[in-house]
Amino acid sequence: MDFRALLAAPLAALVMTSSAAELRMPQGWTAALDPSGNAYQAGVDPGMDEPGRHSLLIQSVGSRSVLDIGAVMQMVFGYAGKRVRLSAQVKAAGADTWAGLVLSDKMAFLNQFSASDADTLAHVFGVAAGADWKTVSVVVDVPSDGWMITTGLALVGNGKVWARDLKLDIVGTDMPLTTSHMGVDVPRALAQLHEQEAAQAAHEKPPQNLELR
Amino acid sequence: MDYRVFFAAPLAALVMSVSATESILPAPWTAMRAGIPASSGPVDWAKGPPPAYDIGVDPAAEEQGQRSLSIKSLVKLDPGYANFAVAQQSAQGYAGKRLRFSAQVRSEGVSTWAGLFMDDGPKGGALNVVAAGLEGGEHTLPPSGAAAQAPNGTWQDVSVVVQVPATVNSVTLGLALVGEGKVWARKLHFEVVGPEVPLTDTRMLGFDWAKARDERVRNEKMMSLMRPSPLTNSSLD
Repeated sequence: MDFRALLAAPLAALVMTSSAAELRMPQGWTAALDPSGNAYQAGVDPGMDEPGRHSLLIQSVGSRSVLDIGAVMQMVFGYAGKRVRLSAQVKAAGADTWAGLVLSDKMAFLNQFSASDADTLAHVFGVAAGADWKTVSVVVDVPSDGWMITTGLALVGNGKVWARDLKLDIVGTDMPLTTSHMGVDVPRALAQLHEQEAAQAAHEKPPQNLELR
Repeated sequence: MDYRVFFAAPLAALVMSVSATESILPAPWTAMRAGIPASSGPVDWAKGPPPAYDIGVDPAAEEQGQRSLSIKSLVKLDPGYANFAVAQQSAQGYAGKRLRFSAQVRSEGVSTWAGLFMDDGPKGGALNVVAAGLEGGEHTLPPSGAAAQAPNGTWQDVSVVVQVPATVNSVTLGLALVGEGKVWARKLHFEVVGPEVPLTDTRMLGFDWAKARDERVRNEKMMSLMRPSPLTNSSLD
């Protein structure tokens, strides 16, 4: 395959450096953590490993705002006009806001920005995880011109969430669509964002480490 | 780093991957690169395309303890794309202020543009909007930029001065390379200056918004027609 077909714009090969490296991030998956990179850890949970079967974990570190989002994502293409189902076994512990499996019918970044953006969030469907392992599915219709969709696991606020046995497939139109979304209180997130911006605006924060140490 | 700097615009065609680079970029500096190699063989998509740029602190360029930030193109790049790379970070709380970002820079073999930049656009979105061909790009100016124009390999004092609008909280600044070549910066300095200091009236050059938009639209169309791609590594190996 000519990878340029996948690179729909010059920003395609943009690389962001992730700092939280304590857990192994499986190839093909991308962590979209909070702005500091320290509030969440994500990767394969060695404590959940079984022979031939790995579990993805997102966990909050320290005490986070109930509006922060930590996610592990993978964007895939080629599903225009299809009904698509993402399924996995999921499980959560101590999640104070929302944790679960997510699927968007477009390219969506599952980070703090989306928490304050109702338009983006309207395209991020999700099914919450419970206390015990359970298979859940998120089903969405991809628009006929939809060139990218976003799959992932997300944790809003504090806690832990796991996923394993991830599977993506095309289903028939008899399969009911998911109507629930990733659990973010948009008005509250927006209000917090404005508070944060006002607080930032009141304090000069120059660029750091100009000495390159 | 405020990720909204990246995500304020609906980045139409961004594929992220986390990969090690040759050089180390110390926190809180962030690398952003968009380089399409001129020719490509089969690519392991799980690994992504080969790296087009190296971004970081260049140990070879350290002189008497003076470190320098560097960006280097690694391969021949496809001139049909707005190839660029930056090492950047943001500053907050300077609404209404005039800011100067300065450094010593040097460059080698730059095909399009290299130098310091500072973007006072709301949430630093201008670079993304213009380079990615996003809607509104025709009305969006690239970041203010001061080019490294000295002959190859000569250190040169460069500064970029912007007036931050009263409503803008965050500015983005850094070192940029558009196209191929190498650029270094050292003795970085950031300060608030008085209104008597002239504003930089040059921009980070080398972006053709209309071309980038046409590419984006064409490629989105092409991708919407492609066969379904399965999840990569669903077994989490």
